[in-house]
Amino acid sequence: MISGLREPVRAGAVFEGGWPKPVWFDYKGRKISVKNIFYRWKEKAGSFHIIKFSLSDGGTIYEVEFNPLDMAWFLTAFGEEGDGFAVF
Amino acid sequence: MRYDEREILCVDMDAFFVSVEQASDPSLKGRPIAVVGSGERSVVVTSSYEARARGVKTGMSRKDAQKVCPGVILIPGRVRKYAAVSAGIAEFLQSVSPESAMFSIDEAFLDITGTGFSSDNAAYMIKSRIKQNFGITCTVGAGPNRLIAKMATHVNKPDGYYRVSGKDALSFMDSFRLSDIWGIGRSSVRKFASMGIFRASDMRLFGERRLEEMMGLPGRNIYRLVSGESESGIPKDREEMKSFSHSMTFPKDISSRSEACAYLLQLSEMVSSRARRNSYYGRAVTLTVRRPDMSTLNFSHTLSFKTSATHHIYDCAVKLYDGNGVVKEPVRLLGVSLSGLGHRGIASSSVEDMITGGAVKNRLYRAIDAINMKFGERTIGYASVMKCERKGHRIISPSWRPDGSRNLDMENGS
Repeated sequence: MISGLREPVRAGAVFEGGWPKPVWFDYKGRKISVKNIFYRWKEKAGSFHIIKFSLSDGGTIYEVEFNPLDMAWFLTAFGEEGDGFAVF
Repeated sequence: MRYDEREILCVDMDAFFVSVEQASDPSLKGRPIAVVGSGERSVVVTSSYEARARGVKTGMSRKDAQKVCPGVILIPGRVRKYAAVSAGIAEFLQSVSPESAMFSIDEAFLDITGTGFSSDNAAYMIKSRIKQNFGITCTVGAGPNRLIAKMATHVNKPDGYYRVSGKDALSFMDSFRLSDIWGIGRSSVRKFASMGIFRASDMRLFGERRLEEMMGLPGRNIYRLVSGESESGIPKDREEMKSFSHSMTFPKDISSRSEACAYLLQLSEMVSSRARRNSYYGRAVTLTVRRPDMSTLNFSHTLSFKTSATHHIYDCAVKLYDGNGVVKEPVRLLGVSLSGLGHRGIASSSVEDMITGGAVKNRLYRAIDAINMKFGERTIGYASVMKCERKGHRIISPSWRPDGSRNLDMENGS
């Protein structure tokens, strides 16, 4: 599992129920379609919140975040499902 | 024995950190996993029930956990994530009853008296909403006060519910050994065991008067606990702080003064900014030093004025470091604490500061605090801190709360 990243990614999302919902994002020239969003949470960053997602394309698990201040998406971790977000 | 008619719930998340990780990656469900600290020298913070069944225990080194449970998946704790989920749960519980408060990151109390919910209905609703919205399970205990509600969570854990009515409270407490009663410490348990007192009923037979004669006020408090009595109100984060402390275990033992000073500056900044944010000023600065052999030393100095200025706390910590020969041997951990607190003092002005520009420093701290409050912890800080290999909080204190003076903005372990 690779974590501790903060790579800007181009993403497509729909906004529903007060949350952005990532549908796809580009990573290293490859378009990754989101099959499952497993978890989402809001982390406080000063006076605003960063919205984070744990999601999968059906084999690889990714963690992406949406920064509402910059209106930007970032990839922060990825790896095989079942490894957790461990770094060893 | 009289109990009032209050209905108190204790909501205890099941293996909280692990459950959040399993919800984030469902293929981890049902597997032995342990959440560990981020450093190489960190230990198991908590583990899944599957790992526990194979002998993994909190406090074990990574190596020992892998030895007793080959194949255990070790995941560095992501405290910011757990804090965010805990804050979300706290917000939801507030909607159930305004008389609710997180007691720690994974445990909350609610007074549902007068809300129109029965304990059974409230517990069912809370359990199902937490599962639906946060993807984790919790155990709910219900009783006439916080002690009984908390003890009731031990009956059907995990993912359970148990209610104790006021009339059953005494017999319920008698089902526990003293060592399992919330609020009775290990040393007291050992002392009572040597006197042949093992259970709550033994203790009541011993008598309140004799306990008080033996131990003073703590004896009376213990008698209340074994009688199933405690506060029924919900604690809020309004209690006065006694100290602000931060400590860090280093990735590698440090021996150089310059490295130590960078960490002391970082710790002083963490302590002072938290004090300033909560309008506290302190007079006593304590430096904690832990050597590689785990021996721990504390050195204190009391200033002639109360302060929350980083440079006062840092200067004091460095003087304690230099003046006590700390530099002579390697250091595993350093800690800085500010105590002797009050709400009146000076942000940055000692007599010396008044001559050398304390007002400027005051404005500087106000600006730094405002930037960090708006954009997040450590957005701006001292350049010397940049050379610290480790930065920020990575451990959740047992007293962490989603808001108030016990709230910290933490770093993730990754």
